[in-house]
Amino acid sequence: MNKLCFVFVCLSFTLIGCDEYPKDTHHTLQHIRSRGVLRIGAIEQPPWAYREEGVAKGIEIELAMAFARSLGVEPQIEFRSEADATEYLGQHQIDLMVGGLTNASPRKDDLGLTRTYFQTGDEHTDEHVMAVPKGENGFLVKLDTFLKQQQNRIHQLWKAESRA
Amino acid sequence: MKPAPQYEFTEQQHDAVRRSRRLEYVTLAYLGSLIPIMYVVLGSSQAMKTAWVEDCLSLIPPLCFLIGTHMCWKKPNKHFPYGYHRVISILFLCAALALLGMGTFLIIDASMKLVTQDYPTIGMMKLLGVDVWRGWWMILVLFWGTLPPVFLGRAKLKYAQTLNDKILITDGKMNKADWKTGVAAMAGVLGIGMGWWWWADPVAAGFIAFDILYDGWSQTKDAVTGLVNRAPTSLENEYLNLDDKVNEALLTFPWVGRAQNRLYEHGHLIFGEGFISLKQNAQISPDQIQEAIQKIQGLDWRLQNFTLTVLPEEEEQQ
Repeated sequence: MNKLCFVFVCLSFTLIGCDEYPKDTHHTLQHIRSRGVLRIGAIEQPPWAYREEGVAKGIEIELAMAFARSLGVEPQIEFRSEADATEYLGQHQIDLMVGGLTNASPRKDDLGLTRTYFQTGDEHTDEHVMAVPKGENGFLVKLDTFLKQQQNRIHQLWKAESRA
Repeated sequence: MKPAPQYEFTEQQHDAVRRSRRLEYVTLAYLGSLIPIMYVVLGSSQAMKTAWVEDCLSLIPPLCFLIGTHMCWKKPNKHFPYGYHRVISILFLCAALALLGMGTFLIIDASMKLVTQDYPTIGMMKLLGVDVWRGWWMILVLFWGTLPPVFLGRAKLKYAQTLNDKILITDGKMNKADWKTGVAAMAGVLGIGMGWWWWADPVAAGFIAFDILYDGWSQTKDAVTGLVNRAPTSLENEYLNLDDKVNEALLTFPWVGRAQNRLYEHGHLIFGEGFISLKQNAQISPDQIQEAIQKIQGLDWRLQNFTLTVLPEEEEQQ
């Protein structure tokens, strides 16, 4: 048993040392980079994602575009119904789903949700999240980390949208 | 009414009860610390979920033991002339059925995850100011879930022998084997991080669930056979063949012509009755019967209630 533990600890440290750990089951991050495009599926829901004179706007649209830039790729936004976006995400036809999702979403079993990146509401809170295809843990870790770094920006965007 | 005799613990057994009760309280406190933190880091790993359920289930044997030691040794009385020893068998059966049910459910759950290719999705988690992949937190917690039970288990097994306590030995064995659960769950979590190795997670969950099911099955068998008055066995479920020893001991008396007996386990103890027929022209006194009973009860400390019936000649010939 001691030997087994030793092997285990060694293995764990090797993996911690790995740059790309955890990895994706379907290589989403790798595909985004080689394609040079982050395909974003947005659900129309102001102030998170909406269209104004044909231009995509909203807190999560801003964040998703900034995330694409942080990966060094172009954002490509398509507005879809929530049902369609969920389906396409499962089929890996889009990489990221935004638009006012919360972690209480009834579709959450079919989505790979980020951790809560922002809370709204007074009496009862909405815990806001974004979604990636299930099992894409490397990509999810990148997004979770990015959203963590953007906390100040998110508050500013929320204030700006609230005023508008 | 003559209640069954009340068994008095030896000094050594008193000590073992006290120490094992303390061990079970330590186990409960330990599980009380483990179960909530496991729940916090649980995430969507099936292996973690299964390991967590197993930890919840492992609350049952310590509770059974504590209730059992409180109830089982109460004095027999007018309404419970055989005492309360069977309480332990009933508790044991309940615990075994819980394992059996949950084991089955978890195996089905893990198979469904595997078949429907439900990829476990685990992101980042910040705890104590450290923001890392949640999988690392899971593994850290699993270490806390793996090492202490091994030591607790070893200590329990020692006292289980002294007390001949089935719950304590079961609990001890389960604790001792707990590291397998921990290692399997860690392998599952590490598999998730390896991308296409995601299936390691439901497979590890299935392995843990099978372990629960196996424990449940063997314990149910054990509890049920005990309740239908099977012949006495050791803690390792080997027949003691105490009946042969009892016959042998009876036949050493010069006045015994033929001897028969039947024995059964009554909770921790063994109860039973013997039947003898006398040699031709032999005469016996109540004292001699008493002497024989004492000799039989001296064969095993658990043999606490033995009655001896002298059969008439005719019946012997039948």
